[in-house]
Amino acid sequence: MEIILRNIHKQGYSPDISSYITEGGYKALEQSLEVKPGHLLSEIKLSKLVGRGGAAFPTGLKWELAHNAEEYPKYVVCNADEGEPGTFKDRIIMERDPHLLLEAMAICGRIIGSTQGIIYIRGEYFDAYEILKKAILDAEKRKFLGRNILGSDFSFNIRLYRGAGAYVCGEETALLDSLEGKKGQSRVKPPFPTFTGYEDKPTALNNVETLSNIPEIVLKGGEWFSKIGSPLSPGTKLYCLSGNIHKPGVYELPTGTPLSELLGKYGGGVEGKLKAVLPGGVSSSFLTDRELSVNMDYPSVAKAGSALGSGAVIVINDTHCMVDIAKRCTEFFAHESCGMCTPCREGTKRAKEMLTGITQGSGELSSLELLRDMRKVMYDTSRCGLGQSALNAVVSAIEKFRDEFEEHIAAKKCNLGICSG
Amino acid sequence: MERKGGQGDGGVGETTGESPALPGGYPGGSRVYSAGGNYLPAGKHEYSCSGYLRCDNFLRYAQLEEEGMSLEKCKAEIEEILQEYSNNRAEALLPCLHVAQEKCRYLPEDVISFLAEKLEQPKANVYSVASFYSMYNLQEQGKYIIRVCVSLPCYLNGSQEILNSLREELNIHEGETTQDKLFTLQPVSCLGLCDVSPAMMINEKVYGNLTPQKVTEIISQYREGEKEWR
Ligand SMILES: Cc1cc2nc3c(=O)[nH]c(=O)nc-3n(C[C@H](O)[C@H](O)[C@H](O)COP(=O)(O)O)c2cc1C
Ligand code: SF4
Ligand code: FES
Repeated sequence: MEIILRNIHKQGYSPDISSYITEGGYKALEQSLEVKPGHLLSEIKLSKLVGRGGAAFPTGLKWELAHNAEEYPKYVVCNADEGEPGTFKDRIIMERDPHLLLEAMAICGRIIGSTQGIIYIRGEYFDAYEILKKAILDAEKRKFLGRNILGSDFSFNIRLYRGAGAYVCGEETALLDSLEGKKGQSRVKPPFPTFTGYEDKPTALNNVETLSNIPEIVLKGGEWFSKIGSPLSPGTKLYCLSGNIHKPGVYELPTGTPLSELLGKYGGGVEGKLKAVLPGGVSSSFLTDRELSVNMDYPSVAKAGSALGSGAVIVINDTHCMVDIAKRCTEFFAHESCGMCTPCREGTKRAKEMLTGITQGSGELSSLELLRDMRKVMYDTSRCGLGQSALNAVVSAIEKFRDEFEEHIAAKKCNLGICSG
Repeated sequence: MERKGGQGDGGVGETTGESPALPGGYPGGSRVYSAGGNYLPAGKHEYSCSGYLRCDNFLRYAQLEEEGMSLEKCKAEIEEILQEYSNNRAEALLPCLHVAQEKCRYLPEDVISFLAEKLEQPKANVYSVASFYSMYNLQEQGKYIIRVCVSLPCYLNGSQEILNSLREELNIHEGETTQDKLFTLQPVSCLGLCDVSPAMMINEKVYGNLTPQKVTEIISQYREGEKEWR
């Protein structure tokens, strides 16, 4: 069952506009021009599609808010800043099927009443940037974008904006600030972007994968979509498998596919013996082999104590030391914190220091409790998701592999010989 | 050599007039320069490095500035971008910094001043944006910027060895540039290439499934290529 990768997996398929049109591309946009935006909106709501960028917010509701907002102009912004370690699905979509994204954005514009779309693409995606640039020109030539699309009264343009290397710019309000030429630091929410977004105007901001579902939903109906996969968060999901796995890559499967099946049947099995899995990148909590039966959809993974996030499934085998891995995670967040709010700016640094201490044999047992308290404080008081989730991996590692931490602290040694004294 | 920005030993806050935090040269040196990160100053530049007067990196920067890296290299492109964003000037900042970085290999002070003037912003503001993002560099970079991913999936597949062999091969630490100004080594966060981890980029080119041996081969290819050009 493939919705997003359906074209990409066809033999001889290329990112060219002609390939896309041959496979029925831009039919959904054509159809959208013939019906009322309200009708399209109800189909999106019926589909029960939720955002694939991490927060799992219902897309239909988001677009309804933007649709109902009465200020103009409105904007459609695509979040292509993909930066969560272990995530590479959006790059695949943009490099291999760029028109899918463009078509989806135009449909979104039609629904919310916007004439301008912007793709905020991370600076390091040089290839995807060039491919999208060409795709936009091609689509304009064929009247799928630009003034009076396909002879209708609907006009929609898309432009690209490059990021410059900051993970936090994936957070929607930081992205908006960056898009306005500023430092990418998160804004206080509310107000949400649907009311006060780009240039303080109503903005529908969505992930690349979320948007890529739209053309098929328009063509086949919201009800069709809502019957795929897990009923609570239906559809398919692009799972990015990486780490100690035989066949790393992007797999599009119905939501709710068990983790064990994802790793075994699709990933070709774990390299070596499984120790832990991060189901939603370094912002999520570790799962162990006892939790492999979890169904990979948003509510089920949350119930198992972790988060599906962007779908970055990182597999760790038993040659790795969990204290060392936890330290690595804190290094990432300490580096990427935008520094706007104190709990995150200081918390990520202190956590990194504590874990570095533990790996070097100068750690204290009390640090383990302190880290747990810090996680709660940071969750409650950080301004954005980065600080709120920065210590998830660390605290879950302490909970599930406490003996490893205690050994590092008490015996001042790493059984695997990875951490240096 | 007369050092610019030598007044920096008073600390970041000290000014000599003009806009705050950016008098004449750049007081504060490399500390302010490293894009808010713990990666750039690695090796001898640990967190504790104040980066003020005696900092090696800072001295190196001051020296480079005198070699006359100039605005001329990118002025035309910047004007073009400003034209494109004439309705919304502030937004032009990131695209302008990108093009300047591409042409000059870093963001020289004259570019920062020029942009501040054109965008009608304080210099300090342009500077703070430039130092926020990790792709912008305020020190001259090598012709080839090597971005090695050090995030978790790559780490699990041996990015540490890749980093070590690059360090050895190039004989530099993270954040540094080789003497011949060919290579700069930058450890970076996930590049979205985790399916082919460990991965790196050299300028705009991606390299995956790396081994120390492959790294050596790639670097020597670049070196060979340079010989042909000369
Ligand atoms: C620190 C942080 C980083 C994020 N990075 C991304 C990202 O790279 N791509 C993305 O689509 N969403 C990212 N998000 C989620 C966005 O804030 C936002 O929820 C999402 O783009 C909305 O689109 P969706 O509803 O289609 O998922 C990030 C959130 C946080 C807190
Ligand atoms: S939580 Fe962290 S990343 Fe988010 S606004 Fe606060 S300091 Fe910035
Ligand atoms: S973790 Fe290295 S490219 Fe993603």
